[in-house]
Amino acid sequence: MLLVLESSAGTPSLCLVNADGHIVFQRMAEHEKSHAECLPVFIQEALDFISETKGALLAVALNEGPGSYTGLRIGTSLAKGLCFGLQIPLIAVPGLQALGQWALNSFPKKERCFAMIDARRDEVYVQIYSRNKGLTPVEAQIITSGLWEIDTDLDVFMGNANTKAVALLHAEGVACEEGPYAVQLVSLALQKWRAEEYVSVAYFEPFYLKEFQAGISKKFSL
Amino acid sequence: MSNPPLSANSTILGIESSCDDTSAALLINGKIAANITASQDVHRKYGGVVPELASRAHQSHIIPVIQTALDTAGITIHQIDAIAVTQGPGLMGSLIVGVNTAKGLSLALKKPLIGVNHLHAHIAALYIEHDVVFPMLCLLVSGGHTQLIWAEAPGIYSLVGQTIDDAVGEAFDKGSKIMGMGYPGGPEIAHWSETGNDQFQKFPDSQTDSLDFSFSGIKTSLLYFLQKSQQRDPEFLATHRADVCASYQKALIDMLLKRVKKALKEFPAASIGLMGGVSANRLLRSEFATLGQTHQIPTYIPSFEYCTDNAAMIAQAGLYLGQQAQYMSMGALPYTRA
Repeated sequence: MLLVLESSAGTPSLCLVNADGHIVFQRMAEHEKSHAECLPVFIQEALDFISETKGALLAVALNEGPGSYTGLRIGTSLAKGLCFGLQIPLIAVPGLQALGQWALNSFPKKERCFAMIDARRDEVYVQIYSRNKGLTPVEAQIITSGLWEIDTDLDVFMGNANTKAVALLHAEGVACEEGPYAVQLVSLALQKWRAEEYVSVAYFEPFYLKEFQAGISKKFSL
Repeated sequence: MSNPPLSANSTILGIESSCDDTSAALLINGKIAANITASQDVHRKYGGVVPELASRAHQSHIIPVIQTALDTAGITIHQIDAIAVTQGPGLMGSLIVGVNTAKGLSLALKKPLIGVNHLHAHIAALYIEHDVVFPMLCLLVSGGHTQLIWAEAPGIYSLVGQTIDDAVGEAFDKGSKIMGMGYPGGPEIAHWSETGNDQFQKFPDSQTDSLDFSFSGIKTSLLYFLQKSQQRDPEFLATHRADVCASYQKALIDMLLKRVKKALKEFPAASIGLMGGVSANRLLRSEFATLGQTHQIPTYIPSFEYCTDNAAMIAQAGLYLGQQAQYMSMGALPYTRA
């Protein structure tokens, strides 16, 4: 079985997928920002389920980011510990691409998905997935009125920044789907699992998107 | 199903990631078989630990450090009996990496997890090399803490004094920064002090009652002293750096030892122990040992490798907790303060 972990945003979740691609177990936190207390317990329950059904955990997939630094850190650390302990491969799922793929699969009449993760204030981490043009690069974007021309018939917003994006873009009426959740990562995770597209358990780091900039304090100097 | 208590000859993987050192160690049959630490040079240019950079570095170091510890000890991950990890106090982002990696390993291997108090682990560093006679009066000195602790037995500790502002390690760091020197400040100041006159300048001791410490005043006193001296002579610091360092270091150590002497009058200690990163300071080690000789009681000071943050002390502290079946649940969280 494949364990799929989502820890990049407010609500942590996980699911187990069998070799046929069916979701056989899933858990989602009831409260936001409960990654540290919920995810290890959910993993324990997932492992118990595998044991009861006499299955085996064969790989772990996780949302590589971008998203909450703390959330990504918790998911990555748990996944590394699991993979190192069980000697199984680790799969990094590009979160925004997975959301875009899930949305276009789920809404056949939509042509374009704006996959967005909240990055505080008016900023989002965004990747646009359109059926005919493919994927744009992942970027951090401050949303301003008129930034994108939204077609409420053909576009769908996906992620945890929908309310903010609708208000800032004056895109009332556009279809919105909340995420990211582990089940939305499954399709892309399965593709990578079947293609044996693994990352290094030892050296993998989350996709933070932004380089961290630290200032040098002038305090306490002559 | 609850896990049984550990036996004294258990194999324990220790993991430490509370600040800017990523460390893994193996305690096998009561002996440290490996103690591997990856330090983070990235903080040097900022003059202190940058939490976000520390968290990112832990993430890329932790598995290679664990693997190196296993290779050094000559065992595989499947041969361990338990995992001990620093649960706190420390930087939250740093602790998260160690604790969750340890939880993942514990779940994968079906081995118990032990959450260790980092400060108690510094005391446990003494047990690696010494058969400690209790009760012991401990002076714990590090970048984040300065405490006097009364230890009645392994794991039975009470706080009898602590800093009310900066830790002594911060006083070294900030002093070094004032003088335009590097981070961490302790080794820099100690290096310059070797050729300096420690009577060159008297810095005032703080007037705290009880057994508490205060180091914010001496740092300001150093700053004003240097500002005034530099105004008179722009070459003052360049000429007298060694003397200023020696005087500042001596004043800090005197402040520490004054409280230890006072505590020894109040507590019937059978021994004294020094621990924490600042216990690597040679002058402090020597003066602390002299204090023990004066009082004719055993003095315990860890080897240099067990002074600074290390996972050997986490594994050692974990053994005592594991022997009492004090395990950490999967829902337990790291904590930033003691």
